[in-house]
Amino acid sequence: MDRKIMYAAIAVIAVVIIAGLAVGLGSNNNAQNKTNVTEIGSDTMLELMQMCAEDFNAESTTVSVSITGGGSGVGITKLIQGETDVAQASRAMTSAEAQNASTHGVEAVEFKVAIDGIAIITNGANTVTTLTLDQLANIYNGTYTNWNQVGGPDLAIVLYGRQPTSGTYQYFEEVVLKKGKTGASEYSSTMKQQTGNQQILSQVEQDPGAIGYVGVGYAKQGEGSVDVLNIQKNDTSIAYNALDENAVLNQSYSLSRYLYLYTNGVPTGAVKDWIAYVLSTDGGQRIVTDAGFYPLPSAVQQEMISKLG
Amino acid sequence: MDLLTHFILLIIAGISFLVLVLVFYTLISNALPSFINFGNNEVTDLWNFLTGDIWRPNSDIYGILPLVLGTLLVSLAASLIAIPIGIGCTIYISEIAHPKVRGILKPAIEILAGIPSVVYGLFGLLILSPYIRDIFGVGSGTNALNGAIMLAIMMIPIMVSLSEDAINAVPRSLREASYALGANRWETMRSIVLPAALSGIVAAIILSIGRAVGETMVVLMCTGNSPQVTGNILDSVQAMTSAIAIDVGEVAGGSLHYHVLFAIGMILFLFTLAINMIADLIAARYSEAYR
Amino acid sequence: MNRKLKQSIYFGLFRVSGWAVVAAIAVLIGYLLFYGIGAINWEFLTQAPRVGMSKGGIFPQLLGTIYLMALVLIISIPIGILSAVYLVEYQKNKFMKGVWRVVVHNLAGVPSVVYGLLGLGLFVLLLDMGASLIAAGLTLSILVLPIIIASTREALIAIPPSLREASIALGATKWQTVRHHILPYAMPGILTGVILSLSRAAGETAPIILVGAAYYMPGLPDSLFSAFQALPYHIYALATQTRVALTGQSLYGSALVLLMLVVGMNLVAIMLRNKYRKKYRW
Repeated sequence: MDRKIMYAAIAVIAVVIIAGLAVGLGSNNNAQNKTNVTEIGSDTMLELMQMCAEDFNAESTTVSVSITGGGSGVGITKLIQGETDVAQASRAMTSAEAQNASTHGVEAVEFKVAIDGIAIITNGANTVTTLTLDQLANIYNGTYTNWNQVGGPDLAIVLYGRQPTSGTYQYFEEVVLKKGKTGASEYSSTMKQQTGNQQILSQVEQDPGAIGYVGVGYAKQGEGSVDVLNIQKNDTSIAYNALDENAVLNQSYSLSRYLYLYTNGVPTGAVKDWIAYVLSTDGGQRIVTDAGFYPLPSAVQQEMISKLG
Repeated sequence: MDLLTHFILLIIAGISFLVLVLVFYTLISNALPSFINFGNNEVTDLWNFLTGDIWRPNSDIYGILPLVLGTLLVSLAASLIAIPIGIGCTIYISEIAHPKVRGILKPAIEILAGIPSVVYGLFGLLILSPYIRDIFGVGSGTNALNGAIMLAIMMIPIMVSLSEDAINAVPRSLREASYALGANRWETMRSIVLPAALSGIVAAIILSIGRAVGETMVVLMCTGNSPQVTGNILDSVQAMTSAIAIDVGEVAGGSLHYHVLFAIGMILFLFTLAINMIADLIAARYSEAYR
Repeated sequence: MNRKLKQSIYFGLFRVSGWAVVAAIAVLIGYLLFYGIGAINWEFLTQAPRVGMSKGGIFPQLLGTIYLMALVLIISIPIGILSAVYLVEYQKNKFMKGVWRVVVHNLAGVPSVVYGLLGLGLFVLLLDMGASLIAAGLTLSILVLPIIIASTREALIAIPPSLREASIALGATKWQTVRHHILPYAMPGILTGVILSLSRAAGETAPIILVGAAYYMPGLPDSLFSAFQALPYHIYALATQTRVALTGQSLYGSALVLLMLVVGMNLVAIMLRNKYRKKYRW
């Protein structure tokens, strides 16, 4: 009778699921008495924040932090909706978002946690080393389609960028494509929208004609197989590189920006512990360097710590 | 006792019916505001939504033509690859292969049907795309062709199992009559079996195209996500499903963008509904012809 | 042209396409085995990921997927099976039967990303469940409900009316007939549908992305309303958001584990169905 098989199948499913539940509940006990802090947002900051959270969770006996990506806009929206304790963002809140927050009764408090230079990367085989902001804009708005238009080899340009929910997408759109300013242009529709910095990096490593923009931490990981371009404000100004820490810190590199955490109100309790850890010299700021970004100058760091009260 | 069980079952059935109706309702109720908003929006309106060739949600420009064309380009190319191979494979399994071979092939194809789509996406993104770039000499291997090949591999098992049913449904007596008249196996197949099973096979093809149109992970991971209007299979494109999956995170606030994504979902829903009905109509013809 | 030659040319083409499909499976699984098999060991299955997902295992993700399957099993399967029983055995109204059939049949073909939108709009936002285990479980439950109803319906319809009539003639009530004479014989068919829909729930990615699986969380979900991780999302996130050179082991290992889980369940379902097809010929 094939009831045997049937019962065997039922038994196998039941055993797997019950075992899963049992193991899960069993090993859960150690995490149970910790307060959980959720953080959502920027993909650029995903690796950085996850490394911070791993170390923090190992150290802290009372708090545990979980990190989710999705993009800066996602994080800020979820903060406003009350769906997360902390938002991570690779751009400052927009005025529209600030307004939306106040109508929802959310008082968003901003913490700068690191400095990033957006690195413009090309394949290691590409001979172009320097671009002006104008050239970069013309590459990304689709005016230039071949590297020989900017003094490079005769090779079609393959554009890599981020998805519209990304803070890096929006930052680049504002600073390079001058969104909302005179001379504004739009991203070319041929740009391949990638959901993470790492994906841009690995595609640029592979495709000879590729160009992409990523957080400097990611560009460093690609050293050897991708080139980080020097960027000039205009034809006559000095070219700076995202790998040059001083140029990024004093903003002479055109694509420097802060990375932020946002909380609802001045944080207390578990959230405060977590933010304090990210801002601390031995904790978060050390990991910032490990992750390839630049730590806060000490004046800014002190200012942020004092915000915690 | 019997009345009680009847009553309980009725309630449970009622619940599941309600749940299923809820699918329609949630879709429609979330999609409608976008159509209403379109009227009041300077950037776009319903006509622009359907025919606009610029998809730039960040600037509140929602023309879904690039996404619709992206979906169609990838699915069409996938069908062109999958239909001949799928039909050939079906005929091989149902008519030619030795029963022992069939015993291996059929389960193998059913396994293929069960592989999660994210695994196909992974394969296309990391393994197939470099080959495509090098073989076709294009800038990047994540393009419509890459997605189409992976989609084709996904479509084939569905096509095979459905069209095999159609071929098996052709009565033995028809074949025997043909052999008796001196036709060989290929002639019998071409002029008797395939025409008899044709409507079933067509229905199978249509259903698997429906599956391709609705597939998310493969197109999301393999096609490069450029929302551009193009007919070139070596360009990268963005499909409707990928746009939903990529953008959906930020839209929580009930913004126009959020409702627009539901509107795209509704278009997909209506499209698959239409595909299902067409396939049903075609298939109904053949099931009536041979009882 | 020679008739025989023509036949062998065409048959050759069909043979080639048949084996091309097999080759595609072999290449696909071969690659995954090649890259992934080295990753799989006991620690990989029982430990949490470490060092930016590049070390450690996939335990939280695997457990998340098992939780989701368990939720689908608890929520959707009883409802689905009992609804189908009602539909086939109790519902007399031809028109209602037709409506049911159309609804179920069409919903089974709706793209999974649309169910994801439903989960987001209804469970995550409207019912305010957030990106939680229960929201994802409910979304997947609705996704598989039409599949379970359809497969149970088929299993029930395949049972000849004579069986029902005989039982009723002997004085059994409707429920006794269903309970003792219909369900036992339909069970293998129903079970096949159940296993297939569980494997579908385990492998679906798009709905989980839309509902909002977590990329990294410490510990494990401790209630139905906590955030969750799942294997398919882990694969997607590793493939698109991490450096595959570093995380490749975890990536291909996860893909292989998911593949084995899903294919294993499908194999059981196929075997079950084939066995039962041979056994009962009415």
